Amino acid sequence: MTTHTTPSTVHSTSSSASPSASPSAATRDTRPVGRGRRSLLVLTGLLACAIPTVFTVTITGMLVTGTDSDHRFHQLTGQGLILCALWLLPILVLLRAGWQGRRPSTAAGLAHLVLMTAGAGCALAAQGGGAPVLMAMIGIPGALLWASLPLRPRLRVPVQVDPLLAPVALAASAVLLPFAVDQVALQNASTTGYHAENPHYFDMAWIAITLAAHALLAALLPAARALAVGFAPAMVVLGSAGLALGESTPWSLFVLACGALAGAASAVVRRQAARN
Amino acid sequence: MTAVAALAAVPGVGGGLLALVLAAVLDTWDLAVAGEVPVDVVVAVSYPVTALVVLSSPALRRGGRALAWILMVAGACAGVAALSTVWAQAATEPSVATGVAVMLLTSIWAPGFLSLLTLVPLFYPDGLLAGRPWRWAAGAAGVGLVLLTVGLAIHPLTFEGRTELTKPVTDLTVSRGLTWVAVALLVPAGLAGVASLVVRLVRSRGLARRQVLVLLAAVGVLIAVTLAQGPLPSPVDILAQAFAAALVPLAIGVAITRHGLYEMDVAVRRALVATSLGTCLAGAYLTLFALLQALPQHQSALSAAVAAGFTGALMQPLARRLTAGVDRMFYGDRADPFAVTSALGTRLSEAGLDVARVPQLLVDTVVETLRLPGALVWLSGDSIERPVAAAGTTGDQRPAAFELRHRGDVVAELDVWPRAGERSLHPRDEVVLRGLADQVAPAVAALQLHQQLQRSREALVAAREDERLRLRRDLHDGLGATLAGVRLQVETARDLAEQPAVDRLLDSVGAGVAQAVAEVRAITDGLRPAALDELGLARALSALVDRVRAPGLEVEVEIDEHVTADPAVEVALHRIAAEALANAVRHSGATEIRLDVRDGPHVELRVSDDGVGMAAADGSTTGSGLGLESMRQRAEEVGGTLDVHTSDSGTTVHVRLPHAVGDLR
Repeated sequence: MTTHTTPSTVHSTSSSASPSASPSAATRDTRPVGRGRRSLLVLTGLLACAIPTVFTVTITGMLVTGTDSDHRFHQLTGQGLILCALWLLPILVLLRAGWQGRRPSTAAGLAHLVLMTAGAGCALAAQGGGAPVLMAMIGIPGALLWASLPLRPRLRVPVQVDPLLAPVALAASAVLLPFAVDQVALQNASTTGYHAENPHYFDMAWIAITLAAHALLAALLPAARALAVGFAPAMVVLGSAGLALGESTPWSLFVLACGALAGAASAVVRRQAARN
Repeated sequence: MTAVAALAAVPGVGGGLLALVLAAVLDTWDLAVAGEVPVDVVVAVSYPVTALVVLSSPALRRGGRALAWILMVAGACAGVAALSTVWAQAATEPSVATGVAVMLLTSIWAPGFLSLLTLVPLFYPDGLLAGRPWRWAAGAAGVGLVLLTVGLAIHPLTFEGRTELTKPVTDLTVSRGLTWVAVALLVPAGLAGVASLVVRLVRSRGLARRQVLVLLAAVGVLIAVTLAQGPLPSPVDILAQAFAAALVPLAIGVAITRHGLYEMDVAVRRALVATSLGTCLAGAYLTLFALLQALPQHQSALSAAVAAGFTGALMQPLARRLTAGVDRMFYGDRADPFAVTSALGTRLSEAGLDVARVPQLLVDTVVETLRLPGALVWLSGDSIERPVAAAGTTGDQRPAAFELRHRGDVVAELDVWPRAGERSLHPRDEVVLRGLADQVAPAVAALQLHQQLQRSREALVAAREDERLRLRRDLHDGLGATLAGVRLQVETARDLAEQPAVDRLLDSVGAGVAQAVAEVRAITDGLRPAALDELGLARALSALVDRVRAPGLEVEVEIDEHVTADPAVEVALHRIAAEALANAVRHSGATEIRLDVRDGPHVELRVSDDGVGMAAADGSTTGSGLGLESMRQRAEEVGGTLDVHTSDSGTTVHVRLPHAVGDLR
């Protein structure tokens, strides 16, 4: 349907679409995707999603059936559901944008990179339980996924500190990073037994560092504020699981409080962004 | 006053935080009444901070001060309660001090917690009671809190922390008596507090009503959670109560910041920056210290020094950025005029060269980038008592006016309302707004010229149509009638004439006069459709419709019978309707045509068909060949608008015309 409107009055009832971005910007952020590129995306997407999907299904099964119930905290958090969410969601966002020929969001790109980098760092610090091999299995499909994207996310973006998210992020990092250090030490100390084969402590350190990085990036970069939306529920789940499953009460309460505050701050930030 | 308030906040904030640290260090979380500590800490920290913010307001009145001190005392009591609880829990042997701690922990929570349900609702939001009778309720609450505190303090009780502790002074009979009297006073006082809020809610309107509503909701949640403490499992009960207790100062904070209570946004901003910076620095220090401690061969002193040095270096730039961030939250991009002008520039370039949209873009930019509540633009020399653009909401306050000048002439005025809680605009706002006004003044001047031109055009059209109407009447009633008379006389003379030559001559004269009559009629019809004068607007439009009726074409018509307008508007409406109907019949291939005319604040004409649409009817010219441009010109000439919606399932021509030329603006 086309519309012709007389532009004769100030309060014109014009229904002609006003462009939201300049045409040049629009052309820079989209690119036609051919069949070959999409095939490549499907292939790398399958490779990148395979391990986290298997993880998610397995861990959900363990939680439902009560298998290894003494490891339920890890199943809910580091080894399990939080890790799977932090891992799968950025991949899916990157794949969707790539399939549609759009440039993926900075938040998704940073989330994926942070996950890879944090995992690699933790694998270097705690090499037990096959963590380095796992990271190689994750890192290579991740790199292939980036290579197959028609447009890569913008990573050089302006910095603007958010006064609500910044204190929450630094407070969270003050509790998450020492926790990660402890978990790495525990993993290194686990030379025999269950955790020598199943690097749960490595996983916990991995998600702790990833979550702290998500919070800091959300606080620093306007383009990555969306990361706070995922950070808040992850912290609430982590804190609640800690309280419910016998982890340190002050630590769990603090994590829970950080999650609640991050949720509130994120809501305020999003509302302001919407007003602008 | 601020220094005194800061000192008064120490028992609450300091006691609460110290209790938290001691509980963590001494690991008392699994001992008796540990669940009360988080709730006490939340009250101990949040209430004095809110009180401090209120007390630091330069425009604080007596009532506000009273409310702030109630919050401060409540926080102090909660801080002492939290600290004495942890101390009593961790004590390994009885002493007088631990006995006093037990007395405190069992009693001092009462003024800290119950004042939220009694005194705060009575004094909220302005710190003054709702009326003189409410003094009884406030007095009862004050006396009841004191009696309950004493009664609970001397109630015989053995506290079991790491060891058994008893109170140094007890008296069961006195305790029971005091407690019952206190309950008898506090329950009505609490109900009166809620009733006071309800009374204020009913009496107030607008901003004051919203302020009361916010606190009423918070107090309602607190009461509900307090009543549900038994059924709720642990630690949900603790978290719920801490959350509900924090809602009350949060509600007061919302009233202060969002609703402009106490006119103290500066204090709120500073408090926010200080809190944010303090938390950031503490978080950065602890993070860095923990990371340094994780390094091999670390030394605690060195780690602490490096972490402190790094945090110190971070302080100044972080403070600057946080201040800018908080300013942005409150005032938008006021501190960054470039961002504001850049935003306006972007919007203007998106709007292209349509100067008609410039005033609206200006007020939108003002409201959105500066977080101002409302803005209007008035064009100079505009006789219409209506702003040319408006955004946001305008209050009862007097707006700040900014002149838009171009070549020394005032072309428009920008009216801007200050933010809630501000009496006038900040000088920085004024600088930015003047810059914006200067930026758009040339475009607004162009708009003003455009509007003047349009008004002149409308006046010309109105004068032309009036003149045509006069000419038509003169020709019809004067020359036309004379010629008709002459023709009649010639025909009579021809009938009387007996000579063939005279007869032929009179025949010729009669034919000449008849031709002259026909020409005059053609001229008058060209000046103005005859049907308008002969039948009136409504019936003339019906006659147009009757003319296009044909087999296989269903035509529906609905016209307000008493529709009237200026002569020029009538002509425009008639000609547009004729053109639209002709288009529908000739080009659309429609089986159904509908014509509606509505008379309201303006005259509205709608001609719709179920044909193939304009693109299919005239793909090469996309409507330009279908008289669209002439219809648009006719609508514009009288100050109206014309919209055409077309698709492959039909076309609708929608015209809005004023009753008098130019009245639609």
